[in-house]
Amino acid sequence: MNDQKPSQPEMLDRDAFAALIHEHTPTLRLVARAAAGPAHADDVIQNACVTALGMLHRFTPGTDFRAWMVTVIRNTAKNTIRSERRRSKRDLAVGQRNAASDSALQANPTTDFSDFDENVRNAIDSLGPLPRECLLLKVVQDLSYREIAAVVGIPEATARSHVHRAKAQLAKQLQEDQAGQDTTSPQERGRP
Amino acid sequence: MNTQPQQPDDLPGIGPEIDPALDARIEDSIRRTFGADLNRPIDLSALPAEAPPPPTFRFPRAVMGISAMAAVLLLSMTVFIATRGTGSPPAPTIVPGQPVNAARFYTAAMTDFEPEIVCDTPEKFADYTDEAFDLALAADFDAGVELIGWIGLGAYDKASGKSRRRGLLARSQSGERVIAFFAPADVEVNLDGLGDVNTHRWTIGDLTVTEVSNLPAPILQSVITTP
Repeated sequence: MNDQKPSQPEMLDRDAFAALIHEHTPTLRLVARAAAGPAHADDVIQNACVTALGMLHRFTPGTDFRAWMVTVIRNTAKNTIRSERRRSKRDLAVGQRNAASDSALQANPTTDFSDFDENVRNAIDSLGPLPRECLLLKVVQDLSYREIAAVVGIPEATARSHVHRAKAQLAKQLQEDQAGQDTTSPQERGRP
Repeated sequence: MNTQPQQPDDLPGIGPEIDPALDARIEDSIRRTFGADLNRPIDLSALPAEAPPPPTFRFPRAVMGISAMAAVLLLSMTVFIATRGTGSPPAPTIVPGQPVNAARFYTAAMTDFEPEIVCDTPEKFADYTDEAFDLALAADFDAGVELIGWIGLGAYDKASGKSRRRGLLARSQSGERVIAFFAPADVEVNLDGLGDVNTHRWTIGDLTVTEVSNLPAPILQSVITTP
């Protein structure tokens, strides 16, 4: 009798890779938005996929592909942000500020965001990378803390703590923003 | 048995209390900003048709290449430093405190007989000897002896930066080649192995001069003096 289980392939092929990317697209896109901002998320994912395909020999089939890909996306996002900063500095030096590098809001002019949304976005930008990822995975995808922990690669209790502290920080910052706007003089508020 | 109740996911009580209305407003805003269009397929058309093979690890090869080049360069520099000076055959090297091997320098000098320093006037001669020995020597350029020039005898004293050891190449009126070793009196000039040659030794200042040639008498003793 042959009880041997079918062995895992040593390395994913391109089609298996594409299928896994398709399966986890919402989480991967959200992590990219958390890491690089909505404006650069798709570029980051594209670059991360190319990078990951070249590094498939480092991925062990049967382990958590989503967590592995999240790490690749994070690293790609860091490189993208560094490149954007260098490019912005160059553009500023020649007096040609590139509007695309500023924010997602400017990169997507068709989206109608309120001042409150913009304040929320700024407050989220001020969070650390891990709290930001945990918060977005919880609020947008409604993942359980166990799932968030698996994706982000941290203990479940830490994921829970990150979400609650991030929410508290956002609330505090937005309340302060609101208070600051209320104390602004009428002349200042009237400025363009 | 003490059983802990299972914590629900949306556990309030961690961190400060948040106004529920504000919390809901923040969550709505986050979903609008970050949650749109999450399911849109990722375009994988730009990916290579096949997963590329695992890359070979080239770093060690590069390191080995650089190491080999460095080793070759180091060896070349060592050979260059060891062979420069009196030319071919390589000049023997000595360290401070060790005797001057007269036979080896004599052989090298007689083979090559090319000086490193040429002093063609009494002034240059005095300046050079002053620098080399801290003793300005006078040379009689009209005595019929050709003063070819000086060669180094290697080894510099680290403290003074000088070895105070030099060899003077000269040629007699009859064309006989001569070398005279100038060194402080406490430095031994070892004459072993010189073979069938004549040596003549005298002092000048605190230096000992050892002239080696086939001539029966020294030719430099009356030519090189202290002023």
